[in-house]
Amino acid sequence: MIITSNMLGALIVTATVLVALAPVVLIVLWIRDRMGGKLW
Amino acid sequence: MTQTAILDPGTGWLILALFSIGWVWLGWWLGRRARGLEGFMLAGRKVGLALGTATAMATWVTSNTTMAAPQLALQMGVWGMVGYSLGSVGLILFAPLARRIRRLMPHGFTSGDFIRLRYGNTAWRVFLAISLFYGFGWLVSLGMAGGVLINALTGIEYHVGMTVILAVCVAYTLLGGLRAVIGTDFIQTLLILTGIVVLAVLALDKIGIERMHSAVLAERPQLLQLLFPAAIMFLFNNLLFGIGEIFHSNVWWSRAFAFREGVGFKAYLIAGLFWTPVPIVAGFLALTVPALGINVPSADMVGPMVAAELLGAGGAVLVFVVIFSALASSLDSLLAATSDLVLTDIYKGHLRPDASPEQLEKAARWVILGLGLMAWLFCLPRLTTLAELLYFTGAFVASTIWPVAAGLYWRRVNPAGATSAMVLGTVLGLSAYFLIGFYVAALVSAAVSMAIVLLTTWWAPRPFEWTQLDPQPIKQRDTLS
Repeated sequence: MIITSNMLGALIVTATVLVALAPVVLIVLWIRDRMGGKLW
Repeated sequence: MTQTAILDPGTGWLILALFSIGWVWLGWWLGRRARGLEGFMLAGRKVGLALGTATAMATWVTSNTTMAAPQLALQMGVWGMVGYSLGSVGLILFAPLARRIRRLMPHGFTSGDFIRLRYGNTAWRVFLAISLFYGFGWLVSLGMAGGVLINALTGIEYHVGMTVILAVCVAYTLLGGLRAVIGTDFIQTLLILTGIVVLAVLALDKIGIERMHSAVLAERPQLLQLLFPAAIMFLFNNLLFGIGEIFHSNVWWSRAFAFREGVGFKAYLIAGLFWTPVPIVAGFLALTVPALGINVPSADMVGPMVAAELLGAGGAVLVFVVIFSALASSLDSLLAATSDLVLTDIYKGHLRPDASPEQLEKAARWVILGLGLMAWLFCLPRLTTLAELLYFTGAFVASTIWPVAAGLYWRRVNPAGATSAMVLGTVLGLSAYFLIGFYVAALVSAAVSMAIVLLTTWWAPRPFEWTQLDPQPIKQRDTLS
């Protein structure tokens, strides 16, 4: 059973979008912690 | 210059020098406010959610992820990279454990503390042997990865690159302790994730899914096979390996102790969810090999070679920065956590039980220095490929899953059973490694360990009071400023 081109594409693109979102989430959390005095 | 180098050594040296100075300065700057033993070892136990999440992600995204994920994709295809991504299950499952660890052991320092207080001295010593062997093996694996990658990317000689990366990490960990490690991890995470995404987008743009799929189908169809038995075994093996590694390793326990109250659960959960796709994004680059028609002389070089072929000299700087950051973020964490284990469980636990916090703080720096030196000596010969070294240790760490998890939640776990589970799980896991293959070592080890913990607890339960888990705090002269 071979993975199709569409399935492979969906896997890779979804993974790439999620990884791209991660830095945004981290920066938002950083700003929130910094403003709340909870960074350290 | 090596055949695969995509940067000339001069440019390589310039980037290496800039980043080395940058990380060391940042480590000193971040760590300058750490006071006392807890400030140095555990960042004052006040790390917030943003830094907590980033450090968990950065530590788990190692050079092994950026190098071994493409290597496994080249050897095992789609299941190789998906299997590697299941390493995140360990991070996700550790989230509730982190919350419980913080609650049960508010003054704890290491994972060794837990095993000693929960199961006694014999189990503690077995656990220390496993944990130190694993921690040191991982440290050597990362040092080797540094040398290999810097050589592959810039042509700078293996021994020189390996020495530089180890020296830089030792320097800033010495200067700032866990605050330096966690602070640099945040910036390193942003660099790694952004770099990986840029590489993936460029690869998709230049090759395209259709072309990549057709070329793999024509030349190596087994890589697209969804019923690839060894790869499916690998998937489960890797899942257990990741769980074992995280559950037992002081790298993750020291963070559970260092995070603010209420942060551990969220930080590990978010980090695990966002880590899951990283090996897929890093790994699929290997599937472009047939379409690119490149010759890969060594499987663990496939990632940098594909990046070099796709991006040329212009993007080489990006690859170098990603890899340097990934290496540093894991090396520093491992140095700090392993030195905590050596300091607390070996030096204080066995050699000088009456050592004062001031003496321990001084000794902590010597331990970091000594560990760095030992790792350097072991890295001098290039022992084995990275994945082999990584999965050899799977038999050791998977044997600790049940003793750790059951010990945190079940009152009646039998201490002798927990000790036997770690010993026999490791022995039989190693046997499976040599008799069957690397992809079953963790699987066998975890299964044996589980059976022994369950059977001995059922056969001879031993009640335990949770209050016994909190060790006496080491008296501080100073606190975090």
